[in-house]
Amino acid sequence: MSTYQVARLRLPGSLSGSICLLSILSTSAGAWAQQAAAPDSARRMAAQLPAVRVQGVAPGRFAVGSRVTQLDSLALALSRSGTLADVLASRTPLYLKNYGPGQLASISLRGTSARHTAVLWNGFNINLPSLGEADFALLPASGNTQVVVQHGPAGGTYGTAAMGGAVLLSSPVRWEAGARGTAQSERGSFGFRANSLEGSFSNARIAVRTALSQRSARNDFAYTVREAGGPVRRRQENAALRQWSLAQDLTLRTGQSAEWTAAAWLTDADRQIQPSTGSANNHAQERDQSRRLLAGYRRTTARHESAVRVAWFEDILNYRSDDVESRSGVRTTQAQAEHTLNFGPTTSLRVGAEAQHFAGQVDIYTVRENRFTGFALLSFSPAPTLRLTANLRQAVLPSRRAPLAPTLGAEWQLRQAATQQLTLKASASRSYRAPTLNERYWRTGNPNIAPESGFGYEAGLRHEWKPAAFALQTELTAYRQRIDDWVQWIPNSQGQYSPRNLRLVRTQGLELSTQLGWHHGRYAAQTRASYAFTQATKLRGHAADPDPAGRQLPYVPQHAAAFSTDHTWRQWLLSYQLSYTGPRFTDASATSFLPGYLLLNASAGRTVRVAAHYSLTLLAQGFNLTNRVYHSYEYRAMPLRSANVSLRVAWH
Amino acid sequence: MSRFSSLFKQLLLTGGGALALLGCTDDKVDGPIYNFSADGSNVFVLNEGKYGTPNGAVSYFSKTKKQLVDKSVFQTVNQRELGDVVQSMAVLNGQGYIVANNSQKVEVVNMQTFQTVATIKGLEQPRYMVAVGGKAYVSEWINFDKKGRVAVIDLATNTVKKTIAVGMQPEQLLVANGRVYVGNTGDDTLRVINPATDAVEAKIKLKDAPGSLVLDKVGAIWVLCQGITKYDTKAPYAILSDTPGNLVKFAPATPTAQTVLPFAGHPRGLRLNAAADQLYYRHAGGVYRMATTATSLPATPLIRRSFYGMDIDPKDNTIYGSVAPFSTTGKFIRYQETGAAIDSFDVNIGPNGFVFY
Repeated sequence: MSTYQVARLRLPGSLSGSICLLSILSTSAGAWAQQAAAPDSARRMAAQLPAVRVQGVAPGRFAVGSRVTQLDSLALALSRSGTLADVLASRTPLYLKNYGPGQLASISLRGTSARHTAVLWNGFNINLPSLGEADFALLPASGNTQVVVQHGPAGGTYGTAAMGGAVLLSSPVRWEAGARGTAQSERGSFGFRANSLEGSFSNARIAVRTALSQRSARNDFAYTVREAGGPVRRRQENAALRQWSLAQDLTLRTGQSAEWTAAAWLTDADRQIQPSTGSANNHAQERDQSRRLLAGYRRTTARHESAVRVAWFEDILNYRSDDVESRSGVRTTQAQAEHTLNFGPTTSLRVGAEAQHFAGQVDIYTVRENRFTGFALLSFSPAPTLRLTANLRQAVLPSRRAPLAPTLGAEWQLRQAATQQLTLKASASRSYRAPTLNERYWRTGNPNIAPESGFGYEAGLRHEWKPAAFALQTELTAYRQRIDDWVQWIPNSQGQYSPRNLRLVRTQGLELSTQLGWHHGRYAAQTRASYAFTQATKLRGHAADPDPAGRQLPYVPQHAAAFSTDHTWRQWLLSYQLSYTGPRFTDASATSFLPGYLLLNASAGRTVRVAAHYSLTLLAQGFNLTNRVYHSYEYRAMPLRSANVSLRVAWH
Repeated sequence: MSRFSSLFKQLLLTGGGALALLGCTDDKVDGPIYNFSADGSNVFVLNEGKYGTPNGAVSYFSKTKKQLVDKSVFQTVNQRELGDVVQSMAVLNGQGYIVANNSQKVEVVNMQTFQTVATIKGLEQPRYMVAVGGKAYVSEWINFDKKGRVAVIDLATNTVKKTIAVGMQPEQLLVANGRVYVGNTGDDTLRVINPATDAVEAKIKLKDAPGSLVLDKVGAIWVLCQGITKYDTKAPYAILSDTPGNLVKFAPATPTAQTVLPFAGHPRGLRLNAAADQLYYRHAGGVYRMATTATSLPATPLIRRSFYGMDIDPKDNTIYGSVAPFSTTGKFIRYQETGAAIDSFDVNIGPNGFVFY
């Protein structure tokens, strides 16, 4: 029986410099990306602020020197009915191990596993406390208007699990944007249906945003298996899903310096669990529900900024199959308080603390656990061309001591001309991962398991070239990281799987990205290409660790690349996304592997103004256009060529 | 780096990558790849594979070459996956019957070539198989919480012709005295099936979880009862009940007259040597041997090592023990009759048993 349980267990910056959507695109792409707070809107936002208002210190100010990828608003707008798993997989070289369309999608940042990526919503970690990881298929793209991926360890800045990196979700406010709304309906292959409603309003004092989305699919796509009599074409069974998301943000300004925020994000997914091709359909079904509520207050003056935030999350995960039933519900109550001191324009110091209380029932165990964290973040610019940060974080965990996590970062503008800029970036960070609730409290768990501890560093060069007609931005990063006390579940003396701090893992690699923005008259184009080379190997392990050292870890592609290009002309849009995922080993001995694959998606659409304030957008999207048979996870079938058509009404 | 790319090329060239098949290679091979003769020099190692993926495999080891020739012989020959959780394999009349537990099937192969003969479908969580006359009996768990059953297979058509309800989680079967004995590991009974009627004609009460059984040279049946541990479902997960294992012996004619040898823990995997006068089993991190004439359990193990699967080569009593980490490929280690290690070979994922052919 233990096999079932084990199966389930496995069955958890400097933004302005890395902005993907350039402002020149904002005019024509604006029709496509309206609603979504475009990265460029961060700049516009500054311009729209009432002159007298004092602006707070952007969080990215304390995270310089590391690589940051920001999904642009157009990418999010084109994927309104999709999930973050879909957007990240098609537009970035990040690897998401995906068990089927809409099924579990776990991220691997810089060769680490999913539990080494911190997913933060408005500054709060939303990884499932029981499993310690996020399923990106459960995060609809409509929930947030800004998605930033911080590559590499940043334990001092973002806390636990920010080892491979962090994914930061938020919806920055656009003040004085007035009222606008959209309604969209979409139909597609394999019974795909999606609908969404979005509305927002803001003036100088209040900003409100509501985004509701719903989608469902039968996912009864065809695939071929080899049986005794030859190849047999089958329809995928047990892969249907229903999902909805409701996001609500409210920000209110009182007086000249105070700001109140309240946000809610509810997600609900009811999924059948797609069996592998060749295994019995055990009619597994999973219900994931997350309710996230947040309230905050911020007071900003010329020298001081104080902020207090409280949040309450409830994460339900109920699994049922012919053999097993498991019900889990964990409630996380948490608070963050921070105070920032600005010593003139060059230096800022932020100190803060965070408390978390976990309570719930996970399958067979009941849990109550408290965690505390204290941090200090320092940002210092000794010269206009040099920015330095030094961050420090100490977590207090109930079991074992967490390592002190300092982060150092630097960005130095080597050359700055009217149209060109060359920046050298570097950072070093100690990171840690607090044990997950399962690791500590599962029946065969290990209450004394130590937090994982990592140390990583990186260096990069960024070149920006912006003559009048186009903008070219290129960045190259090299990194290396070691994670010690890496946790692995292995059989104990009674043959039961139990987590232990087993090994030292090193990941290293290169990340290269370049993007070109070009416009001519009413035509604008944005093209991005990125490549990631990733080596992840176990350097050494405990005697009880059966996996061999010195081989590429399973499900870490050595090569991954993405190419996307978006064109807008008058009211037309044409977009392509090409992504390559290299071969991945499927076991730790590095003998069996899945072949690499190239996927091509494309979108074409047109917007028509139908009345003074109304426009209508028709968009067609095609996926896997080359009809490629591929597997993200072994033996989980993926759809061949498929398409969606959507119609959107926008009011503004 | 180069290790990855050279391995990649090698796998592509040889077609040996278990999953390279997914990339679809449709090479036609002239004549059979293998020509096995039943001379006792071949060992087929059963690898469960990862639970929930059909990458279970049979590895082929040649005793004469002392070489692991093929990690996935079924896949090499038939160019397709074998199944999910390769639990056991029976050999009968030149055909091999490979039970793929979580693929709900038995793959039938020609033992000379390992080419597919048929697929027996319509099974639910099949575990083990024995044959009597033209019929085979396959134990099926169906579901962990339900009573299991035994499927009767017509070996001429390779189809299920009848099912017989038995106890909870039926495991290994034994043909003795013209009857089929089925051990039920979810309770404390053996069910006795009469192949003439294909009905249960008796229920023998033993100790908890009779999982493996053998017939010794004087015709006595030995049953290894594993014992059952039940845990509280709430923290701190106290053990609610724990019954230890027992080795039970009885004569088929007098099933209630039992000799019971109690254990302190949970033994597993009862096996017999070729002469049917020495019992072997796995217990407390070791392999123990006991003469069928002994009246008490041995105090010290023959081999001090924990194995996932263990069996005895009927030709020379060489002991084969397997190590199965599941996250990576497993291996088996060979031991002399004295318990001295001989050699070891890497196989596939989750090796749990051996077929000597």
